[in-house]
Amino acid sequence: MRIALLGLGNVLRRDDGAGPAVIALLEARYEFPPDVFVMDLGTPGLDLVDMLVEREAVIFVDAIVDRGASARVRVLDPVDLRGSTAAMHPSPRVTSHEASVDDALVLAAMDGRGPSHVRLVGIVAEDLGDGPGLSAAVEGVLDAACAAVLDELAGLGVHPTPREEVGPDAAWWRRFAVEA
Amino acid sequence: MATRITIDPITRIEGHLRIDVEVADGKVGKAWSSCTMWRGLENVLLGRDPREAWLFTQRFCGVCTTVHAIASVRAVEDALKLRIPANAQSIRNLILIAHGLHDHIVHFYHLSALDWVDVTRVLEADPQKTSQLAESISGWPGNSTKALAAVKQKVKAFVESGQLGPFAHGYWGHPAMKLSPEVNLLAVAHYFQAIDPQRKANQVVAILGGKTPHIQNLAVGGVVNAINLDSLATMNMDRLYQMKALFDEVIPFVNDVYFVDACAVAAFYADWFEHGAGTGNYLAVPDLPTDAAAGAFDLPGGTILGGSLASVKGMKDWNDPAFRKAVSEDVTHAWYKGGKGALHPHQGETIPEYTDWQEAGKYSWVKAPRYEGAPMEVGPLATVLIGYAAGDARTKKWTDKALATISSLAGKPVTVDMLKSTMGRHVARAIRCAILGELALEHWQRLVGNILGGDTKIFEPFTMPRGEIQGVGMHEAPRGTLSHWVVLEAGKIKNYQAVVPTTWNASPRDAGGVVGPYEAALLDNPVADPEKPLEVLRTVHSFDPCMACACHTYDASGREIGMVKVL
Repeated sequence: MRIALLGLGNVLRRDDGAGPAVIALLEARYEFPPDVFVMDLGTPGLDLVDMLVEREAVIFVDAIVDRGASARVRVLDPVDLRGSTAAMHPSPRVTSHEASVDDALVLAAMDGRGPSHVRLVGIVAEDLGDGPGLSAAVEGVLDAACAAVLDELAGLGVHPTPREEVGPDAAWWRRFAVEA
Repeated sequence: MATRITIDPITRIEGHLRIDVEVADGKVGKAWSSCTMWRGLENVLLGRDPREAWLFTQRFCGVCTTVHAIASVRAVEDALKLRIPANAQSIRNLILIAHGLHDHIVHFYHLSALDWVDVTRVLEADPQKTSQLAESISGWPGNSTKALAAVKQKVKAFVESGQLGPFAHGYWGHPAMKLSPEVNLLAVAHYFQAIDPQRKANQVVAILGGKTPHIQNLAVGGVVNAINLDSLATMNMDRLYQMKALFDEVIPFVNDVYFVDACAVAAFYADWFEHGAGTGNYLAVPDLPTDAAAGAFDLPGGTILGGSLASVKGMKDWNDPAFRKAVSEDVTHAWYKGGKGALHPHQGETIPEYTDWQEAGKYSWVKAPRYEGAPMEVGPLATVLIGYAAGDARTKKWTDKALATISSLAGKPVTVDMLKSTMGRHVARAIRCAILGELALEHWQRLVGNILGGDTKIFEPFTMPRGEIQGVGMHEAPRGTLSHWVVLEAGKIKNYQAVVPTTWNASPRDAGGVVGPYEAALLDNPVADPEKPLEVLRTVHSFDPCMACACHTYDASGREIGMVKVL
């Protein structure tokens, strides 16, 4: 498929699950055309490369840390991503079990089949503790994140069709409550 | 102008690994393996419906999602004493095989090759000489002069652009890097060529699982892959042959490229059969059941103690009473509240008690699993040694082939006992991958035969008892023995403990001060340059740790001289 819309993050680490939550909301609300591949990838490590090859455009939805900022949405381009790993780990690193988005993009480019257009819709996280469910602040910006994704898709000439009836929220990790 | 910000990917994997080693006279004297991140995700499961636990457990780690899903449903089925249909066993087996093929290829090429291969020396290589060398050891069609020249050109362009991505931060030019420019070029070419076959293996997981990562086709009691050969929407001959076609593309890569490369790297670095032996204790559980009742298996399980292959004890099936009794976890040196001695996982507790990193006290978030009180190494090396010692025909065939190839390339005999080493772990992983390739087609035929015989059953119904029941789900995952231990009461999860492969291998010391497998394997490991402890990484990476890893080196006076982020 031409375009990949990929949610990243661990749904058992509170706001880190923002990316998968946005994907679940979008899938409940919209039907996507067949040339758009939509997937909650969790935390795929280097397996991310598999999802990047042979795509023209990739939009990531991911939790980000923007120190000092409260929950909000920031759209980043590859220039912002470049070197993010090096900035985090200035000392030598030998391999990439914990491949960053940056590393995965470079590897896909080296393979010669990487995407030419990349955007990252980032949701600034507040709570990264254990357990499913987002902080109230991040819940409050999910609609803005969905709108940002739709804007990015519109820029690629893609307009998902709103569903006549909104489907169930596919984010099972938020739906299944523990009866204490 | 965009503002530069730090984009933290936030901790992506279930824990970070930190290794501390004390180096004297160019050798490691003492080692500590420590997981620096709280790992108590099991607590998320308490009070939940056991039928949905597998959806949560496969989010423990983003890389090996399927293995935690499988172990979880097996644990609940074991508690229910539930026998699942033959089709369900076959479909699960095919997922596990495809995941293993994918995972082993990725580990060798993308996660550990750069410990042995110097990318920058590729620029000195002669593509024609490289091609001649490659064609003398393998019939793989991707080794032409033209293909190799294109790879050299590609590496050159990336080096010149300064965008090295995963190749940045390598220990280029390190004295322990010993491959010729031509062998380096060949390895880098296969690094790129490996992207497609590992992806195709993962596509098999996606066809059966509905999605990967995070398969969706499991249920306690079987699978939800409806089988109807006359329907376009279900498992039909079209889907089955789609998987076969993918396996047919992956298997030649495993046999003609990965297996050959692992043997060649082992031969060129034959001195690494002398380092990294470890505890000498090995554990594997049987997997890939060949019948609905899980009474016979294609991957043998058992134990080896004290390094002697003659000590092998087989494990017939998952009901093995010894295994069910023998496993315990000690928290003397782990950041959990202890005081009750080593606990069986069914009685296991996960109550944090953080103290800071204390050399003689608590220093890790990983508990110390023990088998009859002993630390055990798990992983492909354990599977291969146990299978070989127990006389498993497939293991013997591929192991003998690997040993003959390495011995011939190295010009000196390499024996099965020498596999108990850093290099042996890589060779064993390639052997296991070749065995999985063979089994992929056998289990595919078994599924097709069963369906053509008219059996379309995929699920066994059950009723959840109200009282307390206990179970254990075992799986021999790509990184080794995985077990999920569950206690259910009134249809809810009362206790849940996941004893994972990296917990066995990265175990800290126990109450008796006995070191874990990484710690044991690092002893006497050479370190040429303490600022660049490449050799330490080689040994740790040989276990295929499923963690991000931070490695500190100290000199004998205890001064920290370098901190390197690895994995």
